[in-house]
Amino acid sequence: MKNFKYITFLLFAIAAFTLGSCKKETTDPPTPVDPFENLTYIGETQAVGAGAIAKIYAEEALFVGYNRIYVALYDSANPQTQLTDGHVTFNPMMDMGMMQHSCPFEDPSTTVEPNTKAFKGSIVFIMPTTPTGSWTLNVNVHNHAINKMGVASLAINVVEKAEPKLISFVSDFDSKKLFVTLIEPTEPKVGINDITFGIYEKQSMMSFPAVDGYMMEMEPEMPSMGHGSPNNVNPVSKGNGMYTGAVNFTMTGYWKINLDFKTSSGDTIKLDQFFDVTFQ
Amino acid sequence: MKNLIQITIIVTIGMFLHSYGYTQESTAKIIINDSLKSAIDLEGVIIIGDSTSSKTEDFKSVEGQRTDEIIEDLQGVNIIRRGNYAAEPTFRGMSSGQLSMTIDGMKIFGACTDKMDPVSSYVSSNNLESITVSSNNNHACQGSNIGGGFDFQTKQAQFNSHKEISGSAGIGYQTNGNGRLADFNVNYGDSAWALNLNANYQKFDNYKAGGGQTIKYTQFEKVNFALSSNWMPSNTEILKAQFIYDDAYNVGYPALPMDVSFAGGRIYSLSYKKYFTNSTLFLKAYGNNITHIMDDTKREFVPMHMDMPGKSDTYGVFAKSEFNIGERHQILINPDYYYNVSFADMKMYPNDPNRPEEPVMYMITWPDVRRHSGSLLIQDRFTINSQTELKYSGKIEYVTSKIFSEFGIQQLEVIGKDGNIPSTYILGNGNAVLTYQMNKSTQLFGQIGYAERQPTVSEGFGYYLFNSMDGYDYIGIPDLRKETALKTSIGFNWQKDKTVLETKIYHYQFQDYIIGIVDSTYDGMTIGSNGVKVYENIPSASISGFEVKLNTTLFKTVRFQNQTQFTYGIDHQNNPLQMIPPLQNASKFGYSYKQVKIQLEAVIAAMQNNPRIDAGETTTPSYGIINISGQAPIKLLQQSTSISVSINNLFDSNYWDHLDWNSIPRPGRSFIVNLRMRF
Ligand SMILES: [Cu+2]
Ligand SMILES: [Cu+2]
Repeated sequence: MKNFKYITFLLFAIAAFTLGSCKKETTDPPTPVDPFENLTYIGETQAVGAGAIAKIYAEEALFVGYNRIYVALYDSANPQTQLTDGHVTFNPMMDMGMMQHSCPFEDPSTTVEPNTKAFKGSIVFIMPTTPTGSWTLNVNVHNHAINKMGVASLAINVVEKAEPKLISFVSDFDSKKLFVTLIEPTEPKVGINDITFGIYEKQSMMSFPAVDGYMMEMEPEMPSMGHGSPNNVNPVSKGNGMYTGAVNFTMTGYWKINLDFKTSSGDTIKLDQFFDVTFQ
Repeated sequence: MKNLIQITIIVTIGMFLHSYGYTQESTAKIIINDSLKSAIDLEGVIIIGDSTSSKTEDFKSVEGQRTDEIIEDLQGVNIIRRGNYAAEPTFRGMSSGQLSMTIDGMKIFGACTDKMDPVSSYVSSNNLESITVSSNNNHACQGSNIGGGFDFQTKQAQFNSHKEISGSAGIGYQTNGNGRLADFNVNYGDSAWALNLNANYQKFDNYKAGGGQTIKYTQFEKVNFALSSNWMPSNTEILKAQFIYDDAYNVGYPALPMDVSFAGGRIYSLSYKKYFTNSTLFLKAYGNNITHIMDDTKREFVPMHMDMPGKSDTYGVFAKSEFNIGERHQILINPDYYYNVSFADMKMYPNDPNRPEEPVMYMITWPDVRRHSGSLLIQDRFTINSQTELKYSGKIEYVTSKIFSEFGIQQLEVIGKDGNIPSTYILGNGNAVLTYQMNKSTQLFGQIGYAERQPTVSEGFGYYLFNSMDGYDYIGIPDLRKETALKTSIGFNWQKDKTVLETKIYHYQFQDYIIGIVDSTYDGMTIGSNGVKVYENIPSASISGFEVKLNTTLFKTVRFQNQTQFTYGIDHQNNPLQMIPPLQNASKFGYSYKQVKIQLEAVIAAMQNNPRIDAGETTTPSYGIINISGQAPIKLLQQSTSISVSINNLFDSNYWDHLDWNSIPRPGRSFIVNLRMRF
């Protein structure tokens, strides 16, 4: 009887103390080594005349908006050998039957990326591939190793994202046709996010130069709750059509980033434009 | 010889102690109970300087009272009501972070960002043995704080070699709110081992305010179990284990936009006490896991559904050693350590029919804050002469808090704070009480103290916490300065025959008082909120007031008690502080003949026309209510049984107290019947 009591007592005490939760920790698997692991393969083709194969990668499937494009060159005779001495330019074209047009883009730098050894540039697709309109990505390749030039032409598919990354409007100030892309954040998070916009002007069907020197006023808003967020930094022009600032999200969910555009002297270009940003 | 000494000690200790209602035998027995208080025992109320300890048996004229109703009776104490359940105790106009709340000395921190779960809610009234309210923060191993604190002592298993099994069981019904109450207590005890199981169940529907209006969302259901066990491995040692299990379901909070679907507490401890010839040693290890789930799915009109779960886990150890140095010094050494983790988050469910794909919104309101605290308290009770005693103490505490949620750190960036840096405070506290026994019946005391406290988790790290009183979302600041206060109180107790008069005057002078200040650069998050308040240190504030209590006998048979309290608080710009109760007076007339008891209670509160407008307060009209209760023994099934009947709010007044959030009226007239059997 006496023993029984002591045992009960101890069991009770032990039970009480083991109620505290214990946590197990897990470790992440080691990071991959393939330099193209995090990129999306778009396609590859011969750069006819340059003795090179161009493999095209992007950060995700091509979409309407600002796409970073990676061109990795390989020796056509020796497809294992990546070519790093060269020079690549873009010429994206949309064929709509009756007419053709291009879009804003930035040619890759003449030096390759350290990690992928690819040439990196960007293209701002202004419309998606449709049954009546198809995109072709023409890549001009100058292979320095043999000092030959050629063109790689690849049919590509461009999709419209559910949450568009591109808006266009006509300037109230000077009637310019303008395109604005939301470039960053690609992975929005709660907290401070660097935000980057690109602004381009449509001068002709083939010419879409970057526009610098505008003023942007930005206000994030959570429409379903009717609140904004504090301490945002309005994007400012950084050259090459890029505008960078900071946007703050206080919670996850659906945010609307309201934008007003003005000239450097304060004339209104366009008010009440917005991008939707949803993240979880 | 050694055994003889030990037995003597135990007998002496036993003599000091009360035996409880269910140990009715007249034969002499030794009851070892740990809640030893070497003080003047006065009708169950113990006064040591500026602190009061009350045995609940003496207050519970009515069976089936709830813990918050018992607390409200204590001197200097008011409760903040947000609903019909678990009111938050305040002491002299101070609340939450300014007070420490412990159960049997264990630190427990609520898991609710809206303070819906004060520590008192985890002790059921029939498991409550006594409450100590102390203005002295150094007293009885409480955390560093400004205003003192509450310690809720629970029932312990009783050793009893003459009657091994004893206990009681009660059922009750309350008309207003259709309240159903049931409880029982079983004690098994022999001379060296004891086990006590206590249970309490309550279920209430919505109550009606005075005049008959139903107050929606005042329902709740609660179950509480407490198991405690005592074991004396030797004549000088007691080992004790304790476990409290508390669950509340579907608790309405009419003053808030959300209710609570579940609130749970698991509280457990193991302690050891050893008596030496001239000293005692006490060790305790404890833990508690508090869960709190707020939701608004039972509400009819909500712009957007939300749920807000929170949790708070606390683990701690402390030791207390008391010993004498010479004839005159009784020293207490109390090292203490605790660790607390607080986490709360919030999901908001969008309901725009045009955007059915819109995802749930998510944010963290308490970002996994982990707090370590270590402290050392040293106290000397110095008997200067037969009339004069000086009790002085010093405490130093080191507290460090850090955010462990990456998400939470990122959230803080938005308000321009670096959440990677731990916030660390070194807190110093000192206190001295001088008591002077002027003559046989008169005791004077003077107390002076200095106190510091660290910000609470909400004040330091809270993120858009909505306060439905002022309609603002609150943001905490990790680098707030500590709040400090200089406190003084003086008073006297006069006692002759059965008459006791107690008077206290106090003043608290705060520096760096922590309060929410409107910051218009922020945009309110909650739908319909008035904006954002950010916790700041204001240069100064003060709280002063007095308490008077008279306990006497009228016409030889009627006990009369009158209690008056008044508090006045202002900030550095002479604006009133918030949640300051008005002048209050409570009178009780108690008549008892044989085992029949009748009690009449009248509570009067003056109007509070000194509200803090920017805290959402409005003036509160005065009110007065009368409660009547009676208790009589009846014979049922050969057992000792008693029945109690009471009427609360006899005249069905429609009233609310200044501290009731958003002026929600309190219950109107209610009849309460309780049947209790003891065995
Ligand atoms: Cu929101
Ligand atoms: Cu809550």
